[in-house]
Amino acid sequence: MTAVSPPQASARATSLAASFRDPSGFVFLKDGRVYRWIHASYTDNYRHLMDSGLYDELVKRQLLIPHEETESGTRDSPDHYSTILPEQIPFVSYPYEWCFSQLKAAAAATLEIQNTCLEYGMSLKDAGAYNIQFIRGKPVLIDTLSFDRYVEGHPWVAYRQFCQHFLAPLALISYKDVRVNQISRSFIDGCPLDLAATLLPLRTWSRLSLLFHIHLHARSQSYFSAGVERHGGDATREGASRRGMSRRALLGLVDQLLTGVRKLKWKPPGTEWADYYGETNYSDNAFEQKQEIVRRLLEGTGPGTVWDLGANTGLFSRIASGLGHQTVAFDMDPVAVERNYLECLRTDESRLLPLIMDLSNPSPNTGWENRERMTLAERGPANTVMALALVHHLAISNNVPFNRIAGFFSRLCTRLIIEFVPKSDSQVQRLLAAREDVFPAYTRDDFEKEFSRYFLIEQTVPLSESGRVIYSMTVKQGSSQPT
Amino acid sequence: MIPRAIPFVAVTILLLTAVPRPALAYIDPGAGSYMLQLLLAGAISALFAVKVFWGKIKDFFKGQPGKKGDN
Repeated sequence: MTAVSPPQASARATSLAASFRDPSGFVFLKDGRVYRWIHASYTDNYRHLMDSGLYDELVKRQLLIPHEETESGTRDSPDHYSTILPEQIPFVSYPYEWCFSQLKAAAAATLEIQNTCLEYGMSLKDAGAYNIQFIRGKPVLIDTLSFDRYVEGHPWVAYRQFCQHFLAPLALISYKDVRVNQISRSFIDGCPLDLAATLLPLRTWSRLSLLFHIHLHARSQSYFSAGVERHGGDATREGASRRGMSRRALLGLVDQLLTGVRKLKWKPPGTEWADYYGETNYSDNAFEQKQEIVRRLLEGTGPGTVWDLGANTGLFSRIASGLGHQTVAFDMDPVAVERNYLECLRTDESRLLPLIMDLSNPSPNTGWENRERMTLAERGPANTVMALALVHHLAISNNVPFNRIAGFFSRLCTRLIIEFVPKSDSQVQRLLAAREDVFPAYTRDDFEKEFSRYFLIEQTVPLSESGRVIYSMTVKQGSSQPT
Repeated sequence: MIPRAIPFVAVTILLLTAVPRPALAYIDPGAGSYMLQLLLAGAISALFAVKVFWGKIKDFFKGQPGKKGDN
């Protein structure tokens, strides 16, 4: 159900690997553009979405991806109702790559959509985090076929999914640790509620939203799953079903979830790398010079996406986004990404997307056939990758040889702006302080030699005083195989 | 509505908390999510009514017209 726009254009229509669960339609790629095919069985729901004013309302509030109906790419089938061309998404991201506030914003957007749906006589049938993407800095629902007609008395069919994809990870981050969000990388349908209930502290029983929607929810799942008959469960089930769930109760449920989500807080503590810009070892002059060099090198690139790897709080990413490039700022530190995102919100930044990414273990293929969620490389290549003050962390902290770094980067981009930090640099000395120096090949000569296997070095700009060097390189054709 | 809902919710909470069960990963947890909403519907509805009513009182004293949501 995820709409993606990989740059590899295909002349023929290809169904996307993640789009197979929803019988209402599927997503396919044709000529490099993503389309959505709508099944005839979904006609009534789709027409209600479009004709009731719900679509216009959600698009106006930037909560739903806009689309146009098209005949392009349609398939000759009696099951076909229509094909739509949604706005193309610049970069697909996943919940395990979002910081706390991004996940919270996506959760709130989902609930606001559900609230609006109820006003227009519809209800969300999916409330998964993968249906939300950040477009122009805002969380937007990208699955246009997520809407069903609301039936009076019916509970919210996507309630479990919402709790697993949003409420449980947000509560775990808020009450335990920000790194717990990586649970969603293992559990593709969100954090199991019994697991969340086990991990959350006892005091969360006193929060009504967490008591109802995580703790009792987990118990209810367990209770009604097995052995119900032995505990009079059938009678309970029949009694509750007879009563049904009124519209007011459904509105109350969404309101309670929204209040619960809004009350969950996580305050980023100071960390080593989040304070990086305040602790750099070079002078203000050298720092300004570095910014100017990066700006100049970026101005020389054509239009396209920029990925800033090891972006920290996004100081250099903002040079790229300020020049009009769609920029993704990756950092492994959730604190830095949180600060970056909050700054994006403060300045209403629309071309910059901060994401959590550990380059020593980047996002893998997951899901059915290992094809539902894409790797980082599959979402590229970017026009330009920036890797500033990063290579020493990969080479020395993670023992990755230059050759492997260059090979990986060559698969991510067509152009590379990279900074070499010499061993004499105090930041490198800091990394070597507590370990044996087993890196005789960590020299500028070796760096240039290994990167030259994959890249054509076009510019070399020394940073005065610091001893560091910034390179601008382009990928050599046919160089992506490791040598 | 509130007096009727409270004992019902209390019994539900007791029922659910008193019967801890092992996680059974191969069983679809959807039934429990569906049933929980039905079981808590009365309480959630009552709480929402109180919230909306309280909001209206606050709006009255602030001199603002009633907010959306009471429908």
